[in-house]
Amino acid sequence: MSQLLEIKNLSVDIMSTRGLIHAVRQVNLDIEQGIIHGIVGESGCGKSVTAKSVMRLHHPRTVRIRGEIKFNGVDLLSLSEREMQRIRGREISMIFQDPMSALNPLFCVGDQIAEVFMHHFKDSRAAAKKKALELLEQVGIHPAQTRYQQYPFEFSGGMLQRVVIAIAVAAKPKLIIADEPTTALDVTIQAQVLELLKQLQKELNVSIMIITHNFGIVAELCDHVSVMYAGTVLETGRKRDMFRHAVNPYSRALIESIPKTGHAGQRLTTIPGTPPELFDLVDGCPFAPRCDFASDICWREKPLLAPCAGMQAPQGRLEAEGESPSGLPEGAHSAVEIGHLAACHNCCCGKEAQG
Amino acid sequence: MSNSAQPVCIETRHLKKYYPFKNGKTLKALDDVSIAVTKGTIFGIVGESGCGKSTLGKCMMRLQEITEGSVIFQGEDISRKPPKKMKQTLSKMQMVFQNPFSSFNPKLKISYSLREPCRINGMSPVQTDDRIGELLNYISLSENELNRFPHELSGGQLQRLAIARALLLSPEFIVADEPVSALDVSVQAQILNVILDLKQAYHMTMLFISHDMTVVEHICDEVAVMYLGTVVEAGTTSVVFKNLLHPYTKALMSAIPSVEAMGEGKQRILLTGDIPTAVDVPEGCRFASRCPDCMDICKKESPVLLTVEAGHQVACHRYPAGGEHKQA
Amino acid sequence: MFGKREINLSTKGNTGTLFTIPVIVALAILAAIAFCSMFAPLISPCDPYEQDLSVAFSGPSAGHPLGADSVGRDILSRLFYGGRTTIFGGIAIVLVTIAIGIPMGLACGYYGGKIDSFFMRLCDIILSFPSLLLAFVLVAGLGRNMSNAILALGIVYVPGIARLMRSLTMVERNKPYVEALHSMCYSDWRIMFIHIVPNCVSSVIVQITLNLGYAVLDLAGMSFLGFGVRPPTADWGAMLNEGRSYLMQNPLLALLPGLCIILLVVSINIFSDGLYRYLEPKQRKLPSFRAYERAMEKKRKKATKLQAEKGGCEA
Repeated sequence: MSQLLEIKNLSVDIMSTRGLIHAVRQVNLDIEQGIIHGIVGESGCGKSVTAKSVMRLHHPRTVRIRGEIKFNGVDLLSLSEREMQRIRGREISMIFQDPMSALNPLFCVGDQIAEVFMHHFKDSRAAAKKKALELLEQVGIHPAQTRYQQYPFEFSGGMLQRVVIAIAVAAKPKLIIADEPTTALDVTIQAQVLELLKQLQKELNVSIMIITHNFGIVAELCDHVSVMYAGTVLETGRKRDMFRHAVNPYSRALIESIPKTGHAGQRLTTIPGTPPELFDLVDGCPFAPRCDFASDICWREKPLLAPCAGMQAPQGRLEAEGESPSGLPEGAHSAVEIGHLAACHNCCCGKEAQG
Repeated sequence: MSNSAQPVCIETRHLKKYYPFKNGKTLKALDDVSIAVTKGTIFGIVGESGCGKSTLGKCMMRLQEITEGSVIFQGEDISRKPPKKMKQTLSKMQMVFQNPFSSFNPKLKISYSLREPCRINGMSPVQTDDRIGELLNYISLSENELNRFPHELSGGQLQRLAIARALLLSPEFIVADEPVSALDVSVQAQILNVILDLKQAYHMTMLFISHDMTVVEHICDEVAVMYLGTVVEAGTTSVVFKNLLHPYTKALMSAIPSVEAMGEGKQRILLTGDIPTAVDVPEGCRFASRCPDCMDICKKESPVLLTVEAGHQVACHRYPAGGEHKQA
Repeated sequence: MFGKREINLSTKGNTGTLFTIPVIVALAILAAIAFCSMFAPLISPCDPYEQDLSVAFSGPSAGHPLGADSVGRDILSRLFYGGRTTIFGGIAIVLVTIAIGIPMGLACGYYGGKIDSFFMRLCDIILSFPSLLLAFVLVAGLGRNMSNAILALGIVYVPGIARLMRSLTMVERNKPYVEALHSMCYSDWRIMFIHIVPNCVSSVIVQITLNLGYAVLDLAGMSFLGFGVRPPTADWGAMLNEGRSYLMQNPLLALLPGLCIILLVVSINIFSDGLYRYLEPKQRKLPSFRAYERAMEKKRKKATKLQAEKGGCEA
């Protein structure tokens, strides 16, 4: 499948009153055509900053972006603001966490959708309205005729998020970036919105990049997953591989820390320590200070994302016990498909990349 | 609900909390809620926003006035107790809040925030240090963290300290209002572990308010599911979760995106429509408007909470007491 | 905890500086004014009340560096002594405001209800009059002297501080930590003064310094109109008033006290503005990337130089 979005060596530095925050550090990320790609990580790991960089929504005075973001072969970072304006909404659109503040409270909901058609396709007011009504029906807002005239405050959070989604898909973009689209919603409403996103993705064959901290949403919705930590991507691959055979100790610990049904009252896996502050650039693996398997090389060198042929048990355990990673049986590699990349010194892939 | 030999720590009887509006309508935040929290257990309250779960917690601590019904704490009705006398009772109850960052006075060092309440409540400095040291052990933090300001600590550390602070005065009852909702998964796991450890160590009684079914299942001994100010299903967690009966509970459970199922092969019950508000609820079952298997009677008569099996109560017309499941 | 770092480039914990150039200049002016007023008896060339009609309206001379006024009193000495009255008056007004306004706002915000509506209506009444006019009425009722003028102006400023304190208290009161304090048997008094007040201080201090500027100005205004300081007491406002009549003979008579008032008020305002930026980090201007990098480069060079020196010493 072709790559719709290629992020290469993306670094984002944010100026703050407390110093320069290196929020995203040398991130490489590919998003394929027609899939849902989840970016998952804890707060402050740089997932939202990455997404905003794709849309170039950062203020250039306080945020510095370096690297390449290729969309359909065009580097978005080299475009002028005018050219970028044409891409925003038309080619790439965004869904925000809080639908209440994503819409203008002074305009009726329908007009805000119609505006997209008028702006991007230069449609007449009547044509735009007709299209907006169809779209309202499509995202499940009934009856569209009366709801069209209503203002955002007359909608519930879930319904408003549907409107925001309608605006996002209005111009039939190739990529939708959804930044925590259901975090502000209740579980039953979240389920409705996720269902809608899934259905729209199939109908329109659009790629969705979904930013979330909820592994459950990733498991439900996504085809591919990338795990971020402290501004770096630690692991990326297909959903099934990630949940069954995650390689990086961080991704593993994160998945294991979710309470599961049928294990009531048992202790959950936790990660000792706290995430690092992002003021300092470090040489080693960002997770090393909290990692059970960290060895000397983890403190010294930053692991690179490399194709991972597979890993059944965390090799670090073997290494910690004094066995060399090459001692792992070849058969263990077959479990994971190609396309699974991990950044970790403790699995063979990291070694190959450097060797 | 408490059929165990353990005594009841706190219970509510037909608790009602109405907010009258100027236009004559009333918001029924709590409508006839009766729960009983057994000593030494964690009682979970689950529900979506606006179901009255936080109001229930506050009413039990008398942080909000009660419209009708009673709250019985250690055998004493505290629902009409004058505020002056309430102070004594209140010190036996503590609260843990959702947002750890605003749970501590930002201008004071943590150590001061922990020591001051002990001093005020007449503990000697030696006792205080012992108690704090003991609790720090359980929450796996060091003296080092005590000498910092709240903004220098992470959300997880602060929430653990908030739990420790709640336990400082050895309270009989703790209300934890969504204590893990604002935290990341790995941090959430830390907090849940701490709560389980402390429950073991101190035989602590807790009302655990949450919107997350899996978290409640994980740490609670008993559970009550709320919808629009009423309890729709309640009982011992292990019994209830083995056999969810109320259509709302089922839908709530199936709506949770689960890691295990990975979105495949799971029949999801999708509820239609939004959560209605509790203003002027119509006759009949409050869930009728969204219920996938609503019957005629549901729109006329509101169901009462009936015991269907040992340690399991449901308020649904489909499940009469101890009896057969009625087909539509 | 992050192991091996060569050079720490972070500015973590950098809380910014209060001492920017404008603030330093303002502080220097304030210090000079304070010094002159405090040591007025020592540095004044003459007695500020000694009249010598022979030198009336004389320009600067050796005996009278800034000249003499209509009755031949030395202007420089009067400015030194006048500073005492003006600054003392300003501070006293602000203290009156604090003493009344802060407890009032605190009580209103904390208890709400009837206490709140009573005091807030009172504030509305005070605010509905032009401030100086109200002060005149109060002084006229109480008697025309300095302490009554201070009291009156203090009362006039109460609503501003009380309202600010009330809204800050209302925000703090609803935070979980206050609820937690309630459930730990804290007395209301303790919650209010030990826990809420310190969290409101930064905003209140800024408002207070701003008020100090206004207070000095208003007190001068009162004196100028004859309601504040009684002649022959030296006071910048009163001097300005006297000098006004003799603008043609000697403009310095009005110009100099006016200039002093402006300097004092502007300096106080610049200082309070700087203080606000310092106390509220969000108001601080962020450095540009280039400036930041230059600063970091400097820091790095310094560090390597230090290291080199250290290495040299050891060798």
